[in-house]
Amino acid sequence: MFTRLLFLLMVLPVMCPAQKVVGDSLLATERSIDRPLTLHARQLRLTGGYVVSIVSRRFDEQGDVFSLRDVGSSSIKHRFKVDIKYGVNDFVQVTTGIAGTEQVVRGRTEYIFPQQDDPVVSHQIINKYSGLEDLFVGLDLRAPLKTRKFDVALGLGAYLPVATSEAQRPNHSYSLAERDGEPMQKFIYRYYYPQGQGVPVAQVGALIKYRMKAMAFSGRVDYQHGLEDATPVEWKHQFDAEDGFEYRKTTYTYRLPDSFSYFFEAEFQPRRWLDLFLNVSGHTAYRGWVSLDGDLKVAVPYQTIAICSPGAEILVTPRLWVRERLDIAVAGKNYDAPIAFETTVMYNLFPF
Amino acid sequence: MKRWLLFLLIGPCFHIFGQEVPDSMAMRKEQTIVTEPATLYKGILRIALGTELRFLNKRFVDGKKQPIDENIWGSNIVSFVSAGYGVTERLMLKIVVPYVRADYYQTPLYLFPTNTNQQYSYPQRWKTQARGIGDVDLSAGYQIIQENKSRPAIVASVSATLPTGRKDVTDDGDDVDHTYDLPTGQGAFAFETALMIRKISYPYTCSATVFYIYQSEANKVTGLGEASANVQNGQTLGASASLNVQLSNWVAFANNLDLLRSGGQTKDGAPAGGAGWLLQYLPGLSFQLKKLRIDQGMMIALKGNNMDADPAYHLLLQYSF
Repeated sequence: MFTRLLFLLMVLPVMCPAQKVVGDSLLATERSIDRPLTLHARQLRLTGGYVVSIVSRRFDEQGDVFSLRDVGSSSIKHRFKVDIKYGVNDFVQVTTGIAGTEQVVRGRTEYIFPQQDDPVVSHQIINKYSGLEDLFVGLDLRAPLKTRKFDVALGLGAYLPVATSEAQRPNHSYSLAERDGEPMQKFIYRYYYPQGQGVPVAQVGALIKYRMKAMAFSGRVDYQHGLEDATPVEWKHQFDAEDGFEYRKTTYTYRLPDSFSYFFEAEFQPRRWLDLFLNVSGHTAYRGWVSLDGDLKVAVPYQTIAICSPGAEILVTPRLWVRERLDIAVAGKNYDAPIAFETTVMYNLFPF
Repeated sequence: MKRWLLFLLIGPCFHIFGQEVPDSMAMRKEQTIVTEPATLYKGILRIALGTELRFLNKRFVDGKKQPIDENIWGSNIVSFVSAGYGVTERLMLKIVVPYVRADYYQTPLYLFPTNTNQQYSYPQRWKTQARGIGDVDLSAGYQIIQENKSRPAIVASVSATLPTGRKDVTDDGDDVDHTYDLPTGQGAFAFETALMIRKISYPYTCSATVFYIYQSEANKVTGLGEASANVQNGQTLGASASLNVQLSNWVAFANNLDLLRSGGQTKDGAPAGGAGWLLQYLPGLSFQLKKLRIDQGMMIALKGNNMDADPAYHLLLQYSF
């Protein structure tokens, strides 16, 4: 099987007639809407992106939106991503990508007034979600259709658990502070959450593109499934007035929810250098569970989100493209509803 | 033969990129952030509409980015209109009129014991806001030395910030002490002097600037129900360096690195706030579509102390007449 695959990977570039037109001339003449679902043979694309999300709303389990500002949990999320794509030939593309996140979410500050004359106690919880996410590797196989209008491809991939998945020890603090001239015992609980899943995740999907004269419609659906149960750690603490905080960690079992992610995009290219698009994307996760104690499994709530993203791609040069979009969460359940600005820079070359 | 070949290969580059002084007015209005001179050409009027979106979420405390205490979260949008005019080939004047829209939220939860060993929960949500014209900037820039092939431009600029924005904290009319209207200005005059050196080496432009901002004292109310006090913000000394790269005829990549240090605030002569410093990086893209320019970028706070640590997003539309 492997030999056959190797044979296909090596022979197809030679057989492919598109190889006669290569390199920059191909990129210079190709409109955005005409791009195939996979890269051209020997085309390398380096992509770097940055997303800043304003997380000030959330969808509850009924799908109603509520303000996180009202409960003191608004936050800013930063996400960086890098991926490399390579067209083995006109029908086979390999991808690898990795992303990093930083988000600090605070809980509402609690002020506890004791019955006696003791000082007021304040509690604040700070959750920091940061670090690299797991490494994605993928293979897209495009159908060799002899029509310009349709393009269809199959996407296979996996997230490899290379990123840290074990939570760092918390760093709680206690201090005697002052509030409105009165003494106050101030506790701040700081928890750290890494972004690695700790288990390999398989992905299978389908891509389709339909082209008209000045417009194109494309879509992608992916299904993701965790291949193992994860065993993350949970940190517990106790406070001693003399020794401060003491920590101990326990493990529990976690089944990563299966998930569907999708996007549909309509593109219109009014100018050679400008491509406008409207993207609708979403993510649904279900069937996950957490087991803290033996056989007792507690279901992870069903989560879904739909995002509408208008944006534009600017073809700065035939090789360099800048893509910008605004992400607006329009519907969901048990999910943050951010507004996000996303900037992606893509650089294309034919190195070999 | 080799020399001729070299000339043929290199010559057109100088021919194309050596347009340091465009002949026609139309070409002058279409220069990019890389190719334009350090001040506006004579007779060009540039009108701009801009906005800066900033969040109040984290601050640099003890040299580290820390969430702001008391669970305060907010957004601050400053939109502005500006007009710049090239009086001569060396002198330009500029005015900036800002509009401030800021919202800050604080959401504590009070827990009181009851007689039944239970707690009475009393959640609060306080919102303070600012709406209105901010402090207007007037500035002038003068090219002491105009740039040519062998020497960079040196520009001196001065600007004055006028206390046109509302300076006092005012009651918003409800009964809650923690909700009020914030000021949209500082209530003080500020004067800035800057000296910049700038060189175009197509497709790059690099510059270095040092600046100093002096802030006068203002008599204003800083807390609801408080008496007015004489407040003086700290003086600021800073430096910045920029490197802009022309990516295509109409797109440029801008990079700016700022380092600034602000002195502590005083209130009625007594220290009221510590000094701070900040190192920030501003990457951005500039699109030059004929006479229209669209600039956008993100200000990223890298290091600092006693300063806001959140990113700020900039968008600027400019048109040259």
